Amino acid sequence: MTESAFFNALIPAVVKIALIFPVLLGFVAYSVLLERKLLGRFQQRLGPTRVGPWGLLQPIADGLKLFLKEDIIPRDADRVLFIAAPAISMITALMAVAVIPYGPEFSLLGYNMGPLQIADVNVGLLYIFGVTSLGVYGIFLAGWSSGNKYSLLGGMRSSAQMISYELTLGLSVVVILMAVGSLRISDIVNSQSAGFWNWWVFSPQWFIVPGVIGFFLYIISAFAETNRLPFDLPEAETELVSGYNTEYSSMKFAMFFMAEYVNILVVCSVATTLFLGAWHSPLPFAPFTYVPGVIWFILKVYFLVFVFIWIRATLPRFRYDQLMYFGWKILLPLALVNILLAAIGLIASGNL
Amino acid sequence: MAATIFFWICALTTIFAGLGVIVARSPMHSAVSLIATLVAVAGLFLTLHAEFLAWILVIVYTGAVMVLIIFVISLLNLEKDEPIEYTTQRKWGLAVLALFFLFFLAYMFSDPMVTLTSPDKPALPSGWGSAQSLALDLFTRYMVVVQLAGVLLTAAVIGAVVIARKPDAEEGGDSAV
Repeated sequence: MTESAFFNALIPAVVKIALIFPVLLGFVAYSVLLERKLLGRFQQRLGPTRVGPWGLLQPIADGLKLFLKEDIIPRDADRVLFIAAPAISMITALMAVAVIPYGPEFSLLGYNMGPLQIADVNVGLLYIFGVTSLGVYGIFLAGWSSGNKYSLLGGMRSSAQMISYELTLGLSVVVILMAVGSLRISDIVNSQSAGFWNWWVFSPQWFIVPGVIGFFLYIISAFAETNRLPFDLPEAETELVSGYNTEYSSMKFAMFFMAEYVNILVVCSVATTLFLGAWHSPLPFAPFTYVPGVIWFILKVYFLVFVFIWIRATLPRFRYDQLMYFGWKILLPLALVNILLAAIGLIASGNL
Repeated sequence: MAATIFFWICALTTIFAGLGVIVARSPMHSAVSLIATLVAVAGLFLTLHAEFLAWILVIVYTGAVMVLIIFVISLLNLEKDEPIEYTTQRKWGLAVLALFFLFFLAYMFSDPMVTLTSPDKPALPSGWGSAQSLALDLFTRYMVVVQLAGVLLTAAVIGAVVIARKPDAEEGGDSAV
């Protein structure tokens, strides 16, 4: 790569990072508020209302409060890893953001910036799974380095759970790879243009089953991957105080908190990208196509985020053995059968 | 230029994290260093345009194998500063191992295909290192090897399940396998 080509590729990337990163963090902050508001409504109360109109300044107040708290490192903690753990959580959560396609091509000041995606890697999907599989270290090392048995138990639960459900998560997506024949995110996005019946959740290339099963397997595993209810055993407060983040305070705690919400946004964005047509509008004609792709993307992601919160408010927590049983003996075989179904469908419809 | 900078970052991380694996006192720090080493090696693969291999390395080794290793380390609850006894026998064993690896490396670099030049030199055929080219090789040229590896791994998994199962597994409800 020559120097000028390198800088031509660098400038749009830097601009996109500068655009996406602050907006994403804003969305993270307001997702917390959204969750609190919705949980309030689900539980017949109002949620935060005091700070600003409708409690809209609540995230800022929370952030300020966390900044001003005392930063404590326990005596028995392993200092290096104790400090590194929240950083690892945050870094791995944010790295996945780089390959998510937020919108179609756009131009800024008459300069074509390419699609609203920081990097279109040729193995984009593997990149997402690789980076999210590193996220477990943040939680595990936090649990281990705290020098607290409850933290350790929380960390061990999370690593066992994340390894188990990562398999299903990866296999649920294989059906799309088989149909698209590419790991590049933009290829997967382009294969879903022109109408919601082309989205992979509705499996246009074959009969409807593999796409729907894949989508549900993905969403269920995503709950486990992000340690959300009903799979939030790593921080089961009735058993483990608060799990892996018990000993954390101040901004270190805030980093875990933010990483959790970044992760939720990432898994919802990936689900949107792979199954729900990414930034394509659901109907390919006039009033719908005027809406910018980014808006569609955000709407779809927040629909899934709403489902995450809805389920949190509805279902109780799994027991640990139920969680393992469900992951290994129900979801994993189902994912394998689903791949077989998809292969049969592809061959039968002559699309392979 | 960018590739060279990236190469040096990954190369130096590999070396120093690799040193960390053997120098660190606490086994957990060793394991974390090993994770860093593996990630940096994946970075080196990226400079060689082997993107698929790089991310598979991250997913399989750092995402799964190393998680199990640190899992075991935290369960064993090893003492931090337990000194390792270097008996004469051990010293000889280590010397032989070190010599073996030295010869191995020397042999590798004596191959004219292996050169110590900058990573962005050779012009690669299009599709190099992609999932498709790798799959084509694996399922045509190396078919037998892949199948054999599969059989071996299946046998290992069954063996692990048999060893790990308690003798009175019936009371646990259903006895799978």
